[in-house]
Amino acid sequence: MRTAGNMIAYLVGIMASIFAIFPFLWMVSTSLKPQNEIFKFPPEWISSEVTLQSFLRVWQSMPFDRYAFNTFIVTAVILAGTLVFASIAAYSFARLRYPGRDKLFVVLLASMMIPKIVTMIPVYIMMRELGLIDTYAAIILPLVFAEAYEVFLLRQFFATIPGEMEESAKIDGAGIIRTFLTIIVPMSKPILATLTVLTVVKSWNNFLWPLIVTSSESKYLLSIGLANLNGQNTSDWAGIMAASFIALLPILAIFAVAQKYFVESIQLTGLK
Amino acid sequence: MVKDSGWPVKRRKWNAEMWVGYGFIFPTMAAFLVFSLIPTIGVIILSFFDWNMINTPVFLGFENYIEMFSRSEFWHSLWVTVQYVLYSQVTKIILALSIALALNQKLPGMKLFRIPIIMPWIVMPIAVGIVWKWILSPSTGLLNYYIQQVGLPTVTWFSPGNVLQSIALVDVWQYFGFTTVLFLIGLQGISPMYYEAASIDGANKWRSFWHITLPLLRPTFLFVLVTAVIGSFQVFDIVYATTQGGPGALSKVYYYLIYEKGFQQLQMGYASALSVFLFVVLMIMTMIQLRVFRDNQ
Repeated sequence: MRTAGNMIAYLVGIMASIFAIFPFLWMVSTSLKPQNEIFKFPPEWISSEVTLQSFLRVWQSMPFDRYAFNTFIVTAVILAGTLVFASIAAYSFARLRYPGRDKLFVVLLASMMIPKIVTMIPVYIMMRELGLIDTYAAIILPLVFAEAYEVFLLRQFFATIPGEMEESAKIDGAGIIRTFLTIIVPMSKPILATLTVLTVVKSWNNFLWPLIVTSSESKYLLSIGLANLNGQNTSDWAGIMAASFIALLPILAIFAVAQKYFVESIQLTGLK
Repeated sequence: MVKDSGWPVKRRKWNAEMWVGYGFIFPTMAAFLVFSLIPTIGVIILSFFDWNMINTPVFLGFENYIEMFSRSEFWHSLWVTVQYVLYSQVTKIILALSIALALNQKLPGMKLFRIPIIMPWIVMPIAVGIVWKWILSPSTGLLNYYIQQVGLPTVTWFSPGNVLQSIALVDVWQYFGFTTVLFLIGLQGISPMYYEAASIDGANKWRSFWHITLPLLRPTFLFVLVTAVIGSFQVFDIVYATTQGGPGALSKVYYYLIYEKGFQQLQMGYASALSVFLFVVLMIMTMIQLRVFRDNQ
């Protein structure tokens, strides 16, 4: 009875894992096939001929290196901004004393109730008035100053750090900013790593907003290039899978080295 | 100068802590003002105007709303979205809870299963839609091949009869692992004492599931349900990658309608009215979530 139950538990785990992973494998498998073997019946997981020509083909048909570069720049700037602005704001809300602090925090939290679609039209008009349409700035600005839930995440963590450590730094004559940089930041590495993975995923995968605010190929992100390739309705599935693979690879690579922080981030979401 | 003596008493001195305090929250608060609060007011104002971004805006009063409620496309999109939410959420929650119950067994290696199942959650939804379009391709797709292998009739995915279920399948794939982990966290919060007490009372597994696990999992359930419903009300990327709202308008979900009206047809006022309506719906759901969450604290 006990072992039968255990067997079922493992079986469910294995089946769920296969369900989660097979689309990735099929994507990789298709992208490595020569074009004429794509529609082979029955389908083969490993083709007799493994080739990288599909990668070359999509790279030549669209400037995927440009898209990758744009996506990287946008993600890097958003990440840097989020880490800095979220942590200073969170520190201020968690530790510093000044009038109106808690009210301002509640106001900021209330902004979590405003979905992106609501603000999208006015922010678009704003960007147009500022002449920022079709620039990196239009993609970056709405996200770079950290969003409410990111500040919230860090504030909750900072609040758990015991105050004695800061006290002793203060006695040693360190100012507020020094204390923050030498005591708080080093102790917050795990939560900052979690925030990093969440932010990278969010801005790497970003689609609708960049789609709206960019119009020239030199500003497109990978997500848009991929959608355009897909929109051409070609039957070049090997090429499309190769492009998808390119778009997913960096995130999968980060996942491979930092899965722990992804699991933790779900834990934090659940506690929200 | 007698008057002056009155108010410095109450007024606190601006010390370093205040300067740094306000300075540190300034960027985030300013961005909140510029990118959230003002646009929220802006979208409400805009919803009372007719504006195509070229001519001067014309004030319409409630006409955009009247038009919205009288157009079948609005009700159609709303209905499509509700159906989609039902298909994806019911499947996802049942699947995730079942997997979580299995993975919650205290067995060696169980924790490792969390890694593969959350992989879909982190990857680009546009790419996910595209890869699934290939897997679900009617004549040459992988899934139909296996369906055929086990002797079942093949399915023409993304066709009029099943387009919402097809999109829901992709959504379920992308988020079931995330939901499973949320359920696992909930399950691990249930003290083993309850189960011990139940087994002493002679309750079998099924009974303790109904009378202990499910009731104590209620907060997780509600959290998952409300956040997932809010999330899938905003489905866009997967639809864009797979059907673009088609065939016809059969998968034109609400978000897609806003995108089309606002950014393809430049009916900014009308699209704003659609957004305001969605905002109200999501706001009500968020309030329910907050209320529920507070009750469970």
